Amino acid sequence: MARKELVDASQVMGDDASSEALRKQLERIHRAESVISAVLRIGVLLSLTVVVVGVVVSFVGKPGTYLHSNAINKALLTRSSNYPHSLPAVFSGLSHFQGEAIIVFGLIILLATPILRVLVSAVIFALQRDRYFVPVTVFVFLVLVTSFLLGKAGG
Amino acid sequence: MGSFVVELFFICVVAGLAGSLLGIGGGIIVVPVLTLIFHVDIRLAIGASIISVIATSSGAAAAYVKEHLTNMRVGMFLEVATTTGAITGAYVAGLVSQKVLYVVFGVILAYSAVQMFRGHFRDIERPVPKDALADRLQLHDAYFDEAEGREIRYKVTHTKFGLFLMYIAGMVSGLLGIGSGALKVPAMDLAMRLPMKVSTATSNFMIGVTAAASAGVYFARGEIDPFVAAPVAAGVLVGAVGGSRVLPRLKNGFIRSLFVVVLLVISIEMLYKGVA
Repeated sequence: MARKELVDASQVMGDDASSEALRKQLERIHRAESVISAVLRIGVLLSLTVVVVGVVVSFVGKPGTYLHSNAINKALLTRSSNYPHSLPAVFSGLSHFQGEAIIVFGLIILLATPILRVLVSAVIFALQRDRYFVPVTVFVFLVLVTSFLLGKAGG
Repeated sequence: MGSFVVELFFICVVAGLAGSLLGIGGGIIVVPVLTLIFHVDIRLAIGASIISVIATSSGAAAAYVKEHLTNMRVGMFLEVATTTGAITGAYVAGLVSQKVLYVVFGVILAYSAVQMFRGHFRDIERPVPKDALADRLQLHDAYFDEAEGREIRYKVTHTKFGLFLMYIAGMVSGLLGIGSGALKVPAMDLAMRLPMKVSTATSNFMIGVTAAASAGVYFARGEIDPFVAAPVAAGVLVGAVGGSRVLPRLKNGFIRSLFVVVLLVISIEMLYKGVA
């Protein structure tokens, strides 16, 4: 994009940067942004599609439960989390084409998108040999993994 | 009588729109709507608000990153502090009284709102203090402001202090499950001196990761109900994608005013919870 070429050398590289080094730096930033934007867009579209399919399948299965707020409230108050909330349960539900399992699978795609974004950034920075941002993104990724493991152990 | 799924979907479109413009997760809309209007259990409402935060973040960030409104380097660097803070928060949750926390953060948010309102009259392009860390990490940047029709260059400052504030912000979201964006935006705007739209776009970029850090716990506990979360996810995504089309064309001053109002509302909500 042309607008990025407007960015001043002193902003990005420090005052003594050569224009060639600047151009390369801008190209690197632009490429990283395109890839990360694509990861987010694909994650969002995929999850939205799967969730909508899941809602349609649930609706076809039991229209009453999902249409009226009274019915859904009753359902929410009476049942205690009998929908799938572990990965094996979700996959077994998927194989039976259950609406709820399909929705949950779509939500898992949504939850995984920011984590995948961090992982992809780490790979991009590694390819670009960015000595500050490789450790930064790898650290964030490890913290996310740790929190998932801790959550599993504690929850 | 309308249907649950359709009503909730449209309310969440509004939440996604507001969240994507202001860099917050939309939990302040989603949680009260679910509990007060639809009488959904508070735990399921909070689970749905985690979904809302992630949907707002990813839905809008796809556009903000591509348009170079998000300062990705600032966002990724600060994520070191927000994610660590979120884990700390989850662990010390039992040690401090939630009521005290609500009061403390209600006061901090009210103070931020006043400071940000005063910032309205400050010369945005006055020189910022030099910051060696920001230089080394190459955090300074520029973006093209569609509302003003020109490129705006900015320098980032007080990176270390910003990192500290982000640790606090992460801890608060780990402790209370809400309000991370409401603290991130003032930290970037007031301390690090990012332009307002860059602050909200960068906060928006970061909140998804902070929320993802705790999402696994909510999921394993069965607090993410597909019937509640599906309309929330779909509505918020549509609203956030819509909002991301609008933000580049809005003026920094307008976003700041809107943010100050919302910040005051959240602050009152928190103070009320702390006292009631």
